[in-house]
Amino acid sequence: MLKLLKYDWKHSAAFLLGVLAIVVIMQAALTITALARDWDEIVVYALGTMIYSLAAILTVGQCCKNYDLSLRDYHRRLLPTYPLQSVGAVMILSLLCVAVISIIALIHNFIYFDSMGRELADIVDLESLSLSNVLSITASYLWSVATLVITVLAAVTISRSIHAKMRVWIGIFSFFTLGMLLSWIENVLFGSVDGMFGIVSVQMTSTAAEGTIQLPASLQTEIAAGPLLVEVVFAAALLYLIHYLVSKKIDI
Amino acid sequence: MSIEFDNNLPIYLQIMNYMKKQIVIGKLKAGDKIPSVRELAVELQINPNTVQRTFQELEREQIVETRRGLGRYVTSEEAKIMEIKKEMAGDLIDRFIQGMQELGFQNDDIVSIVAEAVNDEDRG
Amino acid sequence: MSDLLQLDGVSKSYGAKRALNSVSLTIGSGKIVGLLGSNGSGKSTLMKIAAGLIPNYEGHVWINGQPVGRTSRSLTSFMPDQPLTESWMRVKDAIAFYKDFYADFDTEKANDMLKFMRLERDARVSSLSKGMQKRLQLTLALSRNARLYLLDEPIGGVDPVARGKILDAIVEYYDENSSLLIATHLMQDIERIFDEVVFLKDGELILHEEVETIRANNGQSVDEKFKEVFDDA
Repeated sequence: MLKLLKYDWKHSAAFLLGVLAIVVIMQAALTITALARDWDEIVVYALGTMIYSLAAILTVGQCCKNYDLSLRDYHRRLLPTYPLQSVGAVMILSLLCVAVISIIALIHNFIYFDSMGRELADIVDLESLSLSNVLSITASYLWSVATLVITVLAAVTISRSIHAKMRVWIGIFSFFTLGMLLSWIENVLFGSVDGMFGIVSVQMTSTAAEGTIQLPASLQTEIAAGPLLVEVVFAAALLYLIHYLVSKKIDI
Repeated sequence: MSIEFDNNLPIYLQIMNYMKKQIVIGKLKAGDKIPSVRELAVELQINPNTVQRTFQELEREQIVETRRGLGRYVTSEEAKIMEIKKEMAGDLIDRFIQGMQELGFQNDDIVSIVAEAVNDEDRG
Repeated sequence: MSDLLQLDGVSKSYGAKRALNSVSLTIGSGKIVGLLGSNGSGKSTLMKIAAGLIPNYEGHVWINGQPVGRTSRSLTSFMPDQPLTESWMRVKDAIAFYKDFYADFDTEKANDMLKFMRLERDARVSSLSKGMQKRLQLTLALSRNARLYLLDEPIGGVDPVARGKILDAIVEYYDENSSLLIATHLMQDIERIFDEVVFLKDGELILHEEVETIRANNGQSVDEKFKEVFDDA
């Protein structure tokens, strides 16, 4: 699996590093301009978040494209490896990309804070920022990304196992169907859940009147075991589906 | 070693004939080492199994012998080589006579025509 | 020695088209076998199934006694009619890729073959001509110490000089423990290296014969036999 990762990386390195470089340059330009022209914070956050999200989508998209190539290229299909090893390699690379972008975003955030004369303590009650809280938020975040990637890869695999011209559309359709299926199951079992792939509910509580957020807010996390279990089962089922389709159904 | 192969006839027979001729005319002398299966296959660009078969046939006819650990060698028996020479000559003669008979020549005529042709060769 | 390749009633359809129709075939060890047929006869499909690229087929296929699958892929070396490299690679990267994933890859053999084929290690794969690419494919495929080699059109679309080199390489690296199945529609140069030939027509196996037998019995070359069998115009 790590060997596959090595070659996935070699294949995509130029693109991924390019995206990262452009993101850093754009964010730097954004921040400098914002500070110079005294833009509204909201604008900076909105634009910044958009750029980081776009970077995440582009990099993870590229990783998923590698997976598609692993299903299509002769030299990859001839390898005596398991289908899930390719999935694993893509997963690791995707998570790394997201992690790197997130870290850049955090650093950028702090630099911006600093230049605006703010401190973290202004936003969040530092006492509530315990290690376990931070770890569970990070884990939840990465798990969401992982589940998302598995769903995309499953959709790609499904589309590759169909020989009709509508292949790509079926793939896109599968992706949304699977996502909604997961949400629906969680809804039915547990009531409404925050977002499509969240399993850790993060609450920023503040003592204030409704409709406003007073800062600093305190961070509390609670691991929702039920939805987590459902998602684990869901992911496992998708992995099994991928294994089955690739070893039995997908021809070159 | 270069042979013009005819794809219409068994290759192994063609190699055998070629090698017999080489031996008879002295290009390959009695007791000379012959190339290995692999060497010959690569040189002639033919299937090694075909070469193997050739060598096996040559061994069966005792034209070639295997010396354990050393390789394959042309037989050292001069008598054997003479035998092959006669055999090959015999084949040529048979074919020739048959061909001439098909043309309508009688045996006596064939002999005199040959004698004349050989004399011409000597003089010419 | 057990048979290296065994097909039993193998069929494959692509939609309405039947690419292979109940083909049964056995190839023993130490053989160089020609797989002959016109385009669309099912040659490539048969090879791809044996190589483990097409898991969805009817019938059974065994490589060295085990069913085709992940493990058989480590015994089988396939040279397809498509590139085996990625555009970012140089020749040396392609070699490294193979070395990384195949335990039976012989780097020394590969380097020898590169010299033999006059391929530069530092050359970009994207800059190679079609003939050079084919030589690289062949190098990658033959540098493995596999049991079954499947070569799909190794000399198709290649100039005569390269063709000669490729045939040389095939004969040079022959081993009696392994077998080669070579699909081609060009007969003349190559028929001399075959032990046996298999004729495929419209997905069906028409003939499987030792080459020398064809020559001895019919006074025909494989080329002529092929024309005879396939010329139904």
